[in-house]
Amino acid sequence: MSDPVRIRATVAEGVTQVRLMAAHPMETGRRRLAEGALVAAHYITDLTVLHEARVVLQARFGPSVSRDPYLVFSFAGGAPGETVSVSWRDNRGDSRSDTVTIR
Amino acid sequence: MDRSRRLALKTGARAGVLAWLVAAGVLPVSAASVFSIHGVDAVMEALGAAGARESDAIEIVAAEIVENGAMVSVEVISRLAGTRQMALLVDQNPTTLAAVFALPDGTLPRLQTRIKMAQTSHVIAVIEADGGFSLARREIKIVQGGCG
Repeated sequence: MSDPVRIRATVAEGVTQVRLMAAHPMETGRRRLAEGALVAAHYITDLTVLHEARVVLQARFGPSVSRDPYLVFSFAGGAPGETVSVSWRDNRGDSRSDTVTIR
Repeated sequence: MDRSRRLALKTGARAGVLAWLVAAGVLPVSAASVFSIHGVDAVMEALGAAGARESDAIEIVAAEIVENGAMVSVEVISRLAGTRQMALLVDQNPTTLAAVFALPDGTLPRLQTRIKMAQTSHVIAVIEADGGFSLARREIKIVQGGCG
């Protein structure tokens, strides 16, 4: 099981800013170990952010997104105590979903 | 669970997500294929953005020179009305398309992320807004490539 997505959601003047970091190796499939073996591709392909039940961001990633994908964005609305959830799925079919409350 | 059933379930789930993304307008073509396309022109065509014009209403915020290409911070800001999709391309990367973002109504047209860059190259932000597709490009110099 992978580590939780670190999420911070703060609201100011009617706009909620979301900062998130999903722990993931994001291997391209091109990296070689010292002894020459290729490291298999392993990267997040889909990431969705919800505010309560509403989609506020939908991302599709290729392997050019950095290790431990990091995103900052904002949406109109949101109130302290409401939830922001981040879900991802990777090219191996693994997935993870985490939720925080807006501060 | 036998292997073929497992594979069928996996493939089915993936196809479902894709169909939904296509329906949601995130991707005009099959997603797996658009990330495997090489070259800016070919990716733009696959995104439905062939012929997009450069626009100074799109800003790419990034350092001019980056030491480590494994982690390049890039922020895209669009001032185009009705911005609903952003795609990030890196012209010299083995995988040209880095990411595609769908921004529903209410999500601000401004997004920051980190990408890998194999070498000095242009980062291209392709925006779909009310007026169709537009783009901006910015060269980022890389001291040590980060696509290994």
